[in-house]
Amino acid sequence: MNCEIFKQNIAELFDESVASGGEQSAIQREMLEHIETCADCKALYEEFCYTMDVLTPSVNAEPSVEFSRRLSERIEKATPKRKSLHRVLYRVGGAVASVAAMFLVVINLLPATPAKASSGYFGKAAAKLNQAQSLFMRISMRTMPAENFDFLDPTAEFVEHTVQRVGEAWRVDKGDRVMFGDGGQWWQWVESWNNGWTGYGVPSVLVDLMVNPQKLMQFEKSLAEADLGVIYETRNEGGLTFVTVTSPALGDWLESNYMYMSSILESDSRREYAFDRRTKELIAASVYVLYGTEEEKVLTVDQIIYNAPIMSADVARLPEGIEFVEPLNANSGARFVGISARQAAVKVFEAMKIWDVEVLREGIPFVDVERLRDDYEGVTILEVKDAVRSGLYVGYFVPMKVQYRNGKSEELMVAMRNDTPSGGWIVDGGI
Amino acid sequence: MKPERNTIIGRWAELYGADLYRFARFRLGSVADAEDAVQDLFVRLATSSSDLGSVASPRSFLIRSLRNLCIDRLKRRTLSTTPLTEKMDIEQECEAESEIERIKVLMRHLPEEQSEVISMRTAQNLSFAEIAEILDIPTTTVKSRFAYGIDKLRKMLNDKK
Ligand SMILES: [Zn+2]
Repeated sequence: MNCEIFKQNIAELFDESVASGGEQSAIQREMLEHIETCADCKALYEEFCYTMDVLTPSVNAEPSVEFSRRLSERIEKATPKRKSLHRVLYRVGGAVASVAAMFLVVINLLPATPAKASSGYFGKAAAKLNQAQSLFMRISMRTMPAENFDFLDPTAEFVEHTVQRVGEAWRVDKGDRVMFGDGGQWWQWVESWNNGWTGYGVPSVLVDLMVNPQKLMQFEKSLAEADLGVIYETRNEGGLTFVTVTSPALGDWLESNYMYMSSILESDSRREYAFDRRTKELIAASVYVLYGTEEEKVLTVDQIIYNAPIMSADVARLPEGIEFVEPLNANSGARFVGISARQAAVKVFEAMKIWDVEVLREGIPFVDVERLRDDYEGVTILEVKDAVRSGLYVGYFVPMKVQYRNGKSEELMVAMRNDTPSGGWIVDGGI
Repeated sequence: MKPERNTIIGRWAELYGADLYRFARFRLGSVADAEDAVQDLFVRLATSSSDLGSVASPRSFLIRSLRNLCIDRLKRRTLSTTPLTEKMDIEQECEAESEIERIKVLMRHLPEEQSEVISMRTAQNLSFAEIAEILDIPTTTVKSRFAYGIDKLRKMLNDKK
């Protein structure tokens, strides 16, 4: 041991094992021996000890006796707010309205007022995003990796999404669920389920906004130019301009709050955007949902690369061994045309009772109905209420009470929509 | 909630609740914030669907998660105008409060990455190996950050003497 090695390794003498009088390692022993004979290193060691003393609180901040009781009470009370995951997973089709419908909600709400100052930032940022030849983004959101892209769960961990857009093609990957579109058709799959779906348009509001953030900027711009009780704050810091938008949940809440907080726009939220002051580009964003006096960060745009070198071939890559089905086809809902959502829901459950596969396949296109058979065959309807609208959901919810053949009964909110090629109703979720 | 999940979380709260409280207390300052952060952590665990059975070292896992929550809270605090200090009702709290404050003032002379390692070692009595696990960096990095930080403060304290 020489002084140089001693100095390099001085941290070793302050590890927890030495402090607590535990067993010493070879180097620790050698170092302690060294200071017996070397005054310089001993002095250094003592100064380190003194510094450590200064930095170690003498009064330990112990929790109060009530703390552990309060903690266990909180844990006890914390039951999942959502219905079981298994139900939500059936909402593969993307249950919320399109971006276009979302605009209508905003535009219809109230007459426009003189443009707020912040609308200028959104307008310029939208133009920059529009001009980009390609975009690469990293976005994190509290959700589940296999769950549909719009699904928000403020209590879940963050799941990273990578978003790529080049020309007409785009791809969003959230770990287990991936979606790719070529400008017309989309393909979506969940690797762990070995399931794939395909269709046309963009079947998710959030994916549409991730792939086309200029639409989000335009949306914020139009929101800023209307007067909806939305609060704007702007501040400049370190070459960036931050614009914060605090807005109430968008959608229809007169009949039911069932969808409240199920997506970002259906939550009271605070959205924070950072723009480059010089280039006017959007460079980051955070979204918080607000509940009561609490708030929770649920989404962050961590990185946006404009004109990133993205290969179209990588964006368009499809997985091997997954068969893609087109759930929404001309037959979907064909036997459910010209009736109400409530009547359609009843018809589906009556078909479940006798397990009429042909009717079920039309009425529940997003799910392989065989997967439902164990649970739902022989089910009887105990009660049906009038269908209600909630939030931004494009269809209706039919409140039902049903009894399964094992005698158990359950209350359901069956999501029904008829924006299908046939115009007939299909079950979109809630079972 | 599955019963076994509840049991695991309850057990963790029992074993590590006090450690976690101390961690949050040092980070956030006030008693109320510290309690709140720890409760928040366990509520999230109780309601999330992550697989707890596969967590290899619960203590590090919990501290790591709590650290993230504290960072979020501190960021939020700087964005809003929440007052940083709250009135303490008992004498010992005042003492702990002022000591933590005094230490934090000293630590401000160091880069965050060094002061964090030092406070984890001193106030939270974590070993270098645990700190490495929590921060997901090599133990050698932890040790060198620690040594750099202490050495800088040592020189400062020497100058003051
Ligand atoms: Zn020496």
